[in-house]
Amino acid sequence: VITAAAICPPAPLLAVELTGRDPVLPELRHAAATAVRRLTAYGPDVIVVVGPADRTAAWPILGRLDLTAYAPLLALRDQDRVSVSGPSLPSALGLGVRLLDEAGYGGQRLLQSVSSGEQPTVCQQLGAALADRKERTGLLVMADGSACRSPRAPGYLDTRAAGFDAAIEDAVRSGDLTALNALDQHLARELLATAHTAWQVLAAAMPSSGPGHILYADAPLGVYYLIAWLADTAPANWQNR
Amino acid sequence: VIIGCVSQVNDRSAGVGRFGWLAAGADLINETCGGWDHRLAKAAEQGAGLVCSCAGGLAARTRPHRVASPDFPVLVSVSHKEFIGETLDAVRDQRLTGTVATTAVRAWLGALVFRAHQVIATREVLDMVAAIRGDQPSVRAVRALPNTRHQER
Repeated sequence: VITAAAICPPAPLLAVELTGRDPVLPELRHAAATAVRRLTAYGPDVIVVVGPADRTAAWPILGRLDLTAYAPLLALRDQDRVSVSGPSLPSALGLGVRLLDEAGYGGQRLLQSVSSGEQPTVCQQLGAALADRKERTGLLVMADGSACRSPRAPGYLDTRAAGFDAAIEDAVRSGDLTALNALDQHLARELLATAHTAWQVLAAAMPSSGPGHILYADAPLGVYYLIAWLADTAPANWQNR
Repeated sequence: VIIGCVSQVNDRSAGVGRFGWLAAGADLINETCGGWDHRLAKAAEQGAGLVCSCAGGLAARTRPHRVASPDFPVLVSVSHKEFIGETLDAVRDQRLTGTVATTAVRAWLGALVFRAHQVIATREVLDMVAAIRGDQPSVRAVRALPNTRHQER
């Protein structure tokens, strides 16, 4: 049974060691931390991290965030540190794992990547399997929207992007997540919305919930970020948070 | 590379006034005439850095970048120096490029303290070298970091 879901963007800039001395989008980082704390407040037996990658796969639970592709020098130094061990994860999952660690979550976790080109039926099956789990299961979905919201965006400005992202936001806000299945795959590819299959997994795992609590919704660097959490009820120990 | 500012006093003669400067908070005594004064060494024992900068200062061909000490941090005082003028055939107010080039090479090779005239230019050169060496992160870096698409294999 799915107790709650949190949504955070798989943005490498969440890793503070990549972005320099200035605080970069502190409100984004704060919202992500809050969303994950809400998720853990439900006391899940297991948290499943779902995120986009170049292939669909389950990953070793001891996997770690690997920033080699972004900062080779940083990775070189990490080799000397004892604390860094375990196989490399796709960055979306690695960032999710780090958010769990930073929230102090020490419980069981599972890591599932979804290829951006994955078939809808496979996304459906992955989500259904999550919903069928007997344990109290939390979902951390590492997903963002289009990457075409401004001329400096990774995919340049595309006038269709705002509507595409608004559809995602509306679905999460209303709690009617089946609307995410209506995301146009072809359009998603054109808008570099690589997480659209991860959104579909969420829709299949949690077709409906109470209204989504949106903590952040903006595209400050041309990529649409939505940070939110979803559940049917408030967590039992809500007052303690 | 350590980035920061210290105050410095030029003092060619180890007069009484020097100790006044030390009391006022000078961190370095820059002894550029090349002679060695035992009283200056005494001041160094009190905690002030002591600079003797005749070495390598005559010409680029004397390899100023080779000045190094395994035991003490090296201060570099190359700004506007004559050897830059000789190398580039540049009068004093045309030596900025030569100064920052020399500064960059010395910083790369591990010098820790730099005496500067153009403070902002020098500071930027040192920040850049520090970033390239991996000693210091950038101020702000978000390029290629908003999403994961282009980094996935």
